[in-house]
Amino acid sequence: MRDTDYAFCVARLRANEKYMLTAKDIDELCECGSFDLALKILTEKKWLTTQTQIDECIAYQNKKLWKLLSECVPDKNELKVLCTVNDFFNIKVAVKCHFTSADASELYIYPATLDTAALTSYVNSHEFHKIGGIMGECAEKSYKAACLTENGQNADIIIDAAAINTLREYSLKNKKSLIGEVCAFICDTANIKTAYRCAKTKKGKDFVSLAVGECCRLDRGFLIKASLSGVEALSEYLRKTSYSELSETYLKSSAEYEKKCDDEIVSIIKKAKFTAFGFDPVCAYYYGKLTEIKSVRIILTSLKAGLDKNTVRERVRALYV
Amino acid sequence: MDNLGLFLAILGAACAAGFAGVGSAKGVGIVGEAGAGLLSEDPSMFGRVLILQILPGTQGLYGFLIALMVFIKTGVLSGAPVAMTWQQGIAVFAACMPIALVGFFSAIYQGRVAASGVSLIAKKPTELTKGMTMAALVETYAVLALLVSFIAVNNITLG
Repeated sequence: MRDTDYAFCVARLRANEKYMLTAKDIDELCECGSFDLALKILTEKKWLTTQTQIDECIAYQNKKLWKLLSECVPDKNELKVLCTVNDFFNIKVAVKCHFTSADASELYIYPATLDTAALTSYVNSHEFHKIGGIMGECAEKSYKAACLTENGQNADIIIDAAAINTLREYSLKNKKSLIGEVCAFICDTANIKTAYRCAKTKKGKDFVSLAVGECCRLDRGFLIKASLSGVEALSEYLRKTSYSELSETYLKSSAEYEKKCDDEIVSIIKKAKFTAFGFDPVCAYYYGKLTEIKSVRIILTSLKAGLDKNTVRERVRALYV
Repeated sequence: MDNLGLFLAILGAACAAGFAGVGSAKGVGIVGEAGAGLLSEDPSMFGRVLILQILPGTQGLYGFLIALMVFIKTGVLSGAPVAMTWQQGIAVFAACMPIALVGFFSAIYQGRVAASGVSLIAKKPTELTKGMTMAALVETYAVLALLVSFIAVNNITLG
């Protein structure tokens, strides 16, 4: 596909970027002091319509974002990469709900390329092949692991590792594009997080090898070895890589690590601000909007919990616009 | 072989109008797509989008102008073609090439710059002039190619 095929899409997204929340808007929300006032501000800025619950607000924005992207991209298949993480999460939900008899429809997240109703039905009827591809394979493996070990964690790590491996494949296929860079970053930072968790809980070789997926800018072998040797050794290994700062942050606080990862993604996608054609501005708009939605959710949740302004401000993510 | 000279001259005219026209069509098309993207969100921007969309269309006109000059010069327009040698035919053909080639490529590049201008006004509607100026700079080279073709066609002696 030629980059100029995205001319319509990019112009439409640029027009929508005008309505994204700015640093000033986020400041106003942090300062407003009450949940109801925050909802009022968001409604005035046309970020919301009639929603009053946090989940409703987030679902409304996610739906709006996906509708916009689906309408304007020339080839919808290109959007699959953006849903990878959600799709694998939904598989995890379907497998877990099969065992717990919980209502999966309330736990699924969107946007997703997999039809969630069909996913529930395929998992419940053990027709994993109908899910298709790597997703079907990992759903089956995860289901079998859950049956054999009666341990939900084993089922989880199979799906998480498959998600990481899929992101790595996308990254390798799109090395020169923004989405490739973002996928590589998500893949590596997810592996770092897993490796630290395994090190902290002193997991064995089999578990760590299964949990840590393929890496992009890290050596998977070294990462597993370091994780098995403990937190110190892992930190020592990561200090020699480009993720040194992030690793130090994880040791201080995992919440701060999540924030730094989100901020780093925003700094990667900011490059697309000056790109007029191609998929890069689509990828940038998607991740930019996701970060904005995440920030609003943090603010609303914090306001509802009565946290002070400074704590809220510390948790808010960097903005794309 | 008697009419080889005339054939080459008409081929040159066809290239001038054809390549420059295709380039313009592509350029205008790219800006049109970007413009439609913006208008689907903000229909009030139609006037501004139209100005940017017109810009890559000029190369097609330049190509047409040179083709018309060749038709007049060779007598094709009046229905009484002048006799010319194959060397004269090649000279006319070569004279048409600057606007054919530069027109084709510059129109596409101008279309890309103008489409970027659409993205610019999508975020900052008051910056139309900057978007136009940047796109107009690409036009310079199409104008230079038009001048070269014009002078060359005008100064070839036929018959």
